[in-house]
Amino acid sequence: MPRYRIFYEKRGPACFIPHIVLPTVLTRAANRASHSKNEDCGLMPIIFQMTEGFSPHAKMSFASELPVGVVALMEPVDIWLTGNLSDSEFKAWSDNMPTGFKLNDFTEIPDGSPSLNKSCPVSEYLLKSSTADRMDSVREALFKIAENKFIDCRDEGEFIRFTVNNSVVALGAIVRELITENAVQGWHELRIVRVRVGAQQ
Amino acid sequence: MYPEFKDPYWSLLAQVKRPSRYSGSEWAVNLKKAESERANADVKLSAGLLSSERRSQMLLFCLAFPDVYEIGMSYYGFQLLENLLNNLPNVLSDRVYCPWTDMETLLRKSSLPLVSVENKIPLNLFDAIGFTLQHELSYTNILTMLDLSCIPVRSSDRNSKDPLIIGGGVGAFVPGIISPFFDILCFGDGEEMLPELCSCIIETKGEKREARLDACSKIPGVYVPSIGLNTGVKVKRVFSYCMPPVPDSLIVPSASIVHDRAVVELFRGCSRGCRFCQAGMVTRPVRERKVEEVVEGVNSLIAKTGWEEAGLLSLASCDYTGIKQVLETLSENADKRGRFKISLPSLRMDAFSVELAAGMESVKRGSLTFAPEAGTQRLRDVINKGIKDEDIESSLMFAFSKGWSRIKLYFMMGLPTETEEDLEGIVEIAGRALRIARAQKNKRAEVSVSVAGFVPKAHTPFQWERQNSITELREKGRLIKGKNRNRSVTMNYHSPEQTFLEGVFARGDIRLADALEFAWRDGARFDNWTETFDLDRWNRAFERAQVDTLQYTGERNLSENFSWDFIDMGVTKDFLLRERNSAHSEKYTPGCKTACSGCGLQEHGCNLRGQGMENNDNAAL
Ligand code: SF4
Ligand code: SF4
Repeated sequence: MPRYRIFYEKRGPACFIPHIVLPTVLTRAANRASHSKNEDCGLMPIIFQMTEGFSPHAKMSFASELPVGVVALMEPVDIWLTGNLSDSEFKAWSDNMPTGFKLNDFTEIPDGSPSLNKSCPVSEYLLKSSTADRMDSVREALFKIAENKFIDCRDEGEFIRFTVNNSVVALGAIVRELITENAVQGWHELRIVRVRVGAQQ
Repeated sequence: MYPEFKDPYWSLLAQVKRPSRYSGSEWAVNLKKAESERANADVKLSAGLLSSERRSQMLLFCLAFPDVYEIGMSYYGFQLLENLLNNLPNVLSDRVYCPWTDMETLLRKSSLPLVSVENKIPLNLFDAIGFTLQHELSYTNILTMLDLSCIPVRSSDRNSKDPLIIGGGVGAFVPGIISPFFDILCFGDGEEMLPELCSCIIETKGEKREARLDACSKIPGVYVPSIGLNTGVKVKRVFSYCMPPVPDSLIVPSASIVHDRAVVELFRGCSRGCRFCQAGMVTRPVRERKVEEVVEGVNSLIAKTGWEEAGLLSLASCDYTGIKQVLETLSENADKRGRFKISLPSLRMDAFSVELAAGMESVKRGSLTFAPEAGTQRLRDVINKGIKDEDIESSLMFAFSKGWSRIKLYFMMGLPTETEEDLEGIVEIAGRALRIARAQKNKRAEVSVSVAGFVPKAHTPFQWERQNSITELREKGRLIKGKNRNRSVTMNYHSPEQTFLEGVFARGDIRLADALEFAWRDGARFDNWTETFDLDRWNRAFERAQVDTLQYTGERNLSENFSWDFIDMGVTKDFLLRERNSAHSEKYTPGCKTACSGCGLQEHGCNLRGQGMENNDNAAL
């Protein structure tokens, strides 16, 4: 029963689709990719291993929760399939994702490897204020918060790039602090990209 | 690098409850097609505009649902229309739903127009906007959607650059209230009317609005209020004689919606003839889909859409001739293809139906819902609900013995001829259900009873009846609740205030249009949602429009000419009257599958007469 780590992106208004429905979004796309037409081209259906219990669902494991309204470029998800996943099956899967979603990469995870959260402990973000005039106060507040919590925080063009340890602080907490610090009124005044979730670099 | 951050709607999405309502991140075959068309740069939809040459040959049609996304997306008929339109030559369709009040406020504050879900095109750039009219209490939302798109809410204020505003669905059959707001109303099945209507709109491009509307009004089933008012001309309801094919695909949402499943219609119409039921009367006759077509449809849609559940849709689904066969075949297929669940929308209260449900593994865990509608046999005969006491008894017995422990029962109060005994009957049936459960040693059994206020509807045998007042309904609701002594039985009744408003609209006419607009300008939104409904606002509006609501909810004279009488529904007023009289003499009329009662459709090719209409080839036409 192979385990794969797939990486997806979420762009445009799709960023407002909540994290919680992602399993359904992924399984439905996989179901579509397994459509008989693909079988004719030699593609095997993508079949998930199911969890045991009262209401079985596809076994999947996600990285730390991605809040709505955050652009994601490379979100890892661990999935367990009943068979192998080929490049062309993976492509068919990606082609069948809803508007705004794309699957970018996948890799097989050997048996006995640590969990997704263990092997991907940090998240890297780009953040800016929605209006240029607020950027200075956002920068100031963010660097202040960064001092005791972040691994790394630096200016990068119009954005600030920062890396946090998921178990230390979640994005939501950082934004809450920015609000407390009066740097912004709320999420809508920020533009955030989660660049990657992965190992410390 | 991040174009989404230039999107002016981004900040709005980040502020509203449930932004996924607006994000439109869906999957559909045609979405993929549109994407590739966009890539070919032939159709520059992303900019909200087509190349002008292509644009002049095309019809951009926006389907509009006057309620929030998760409700509208769950309504199958709406999806069906999108599929239909996209398969028409030179038509490009998109959809829009009503923004919730938080989004409306933000749109107004930022002076941004309402845009379509898929291509984010402002509504006033479409050639036509087609509203689905399902529920009276969502009418104010229509005005919100037009207004947010800078389209005048009244037809008379629109000019040539404004889209044509079209309405269809059951609501259109009571056209008075809404007629000043619509340019065109469609009476009947979209499959039959839209192709012709669309080509007419394309052909008349560039012509004066009046001329275009005049051309449209010649199409069967089409009614143009600005021309047709008071002309005395009858407009026919147009319907398909056989079931249109199962759509080749459906739109799959990413946001969670109310009914999240692939749907296949079993049949249209209903053979039963319950006298309160508008849906049953306005969709006659029964037109069944063949068993193989249903099975094939489900299999193909499940494969194409990726849904993990398929729903079989119709009124009174258990009446479908091949229901057993369909369910058995589908259960087998579900096992073979990797599991998908099957759901039936409604169960009839008899042993046959419960047995069917019991045979479907997937429905076992949920609760089971029945609608006996009335508490005594006498009243059930009045409303022509052909359920006997024995049926109730046996279906409950069967349900509890098959392992269900949560039963939901739907009733109505305020029905014609109702007495206290009938109301007590509701409590009695709930209690009986629990006794049956206890007798079977089912200790966890729960019964929940939901009682709706009866609203007499146009085009039904009860269209002349008096509707109970708010006070009466509240007293009856309390009486039922008060009589219930059982803690395992929960009793709820619908808001009498909302029932009242629904009743005013249900048999409304053009004099209500002003009140509707006043109430909307005063802030009425989503009147079918309890959190936004406010009766005071409506009372103010009625007063200002000098409307006496009792004229609408009161008993109607048998000789009255109704404002909806000009629609030739196929079912005759004479039949409705006959049925009304049978109701008052407590006489049951058997359903169409037992005997034809000559409702009028026999003149239109209905050859049901006890055999079912699945043999479409014989339909006269
Ligand atoms: S069974 Fe009665 S209530 Fe149900 S759809 Fe048919 S006519 Fe209407
Ligand atoms: S014509 Fe007869 S069988 Fe056909 S719908 Fe009317 S009553 Fe039923």
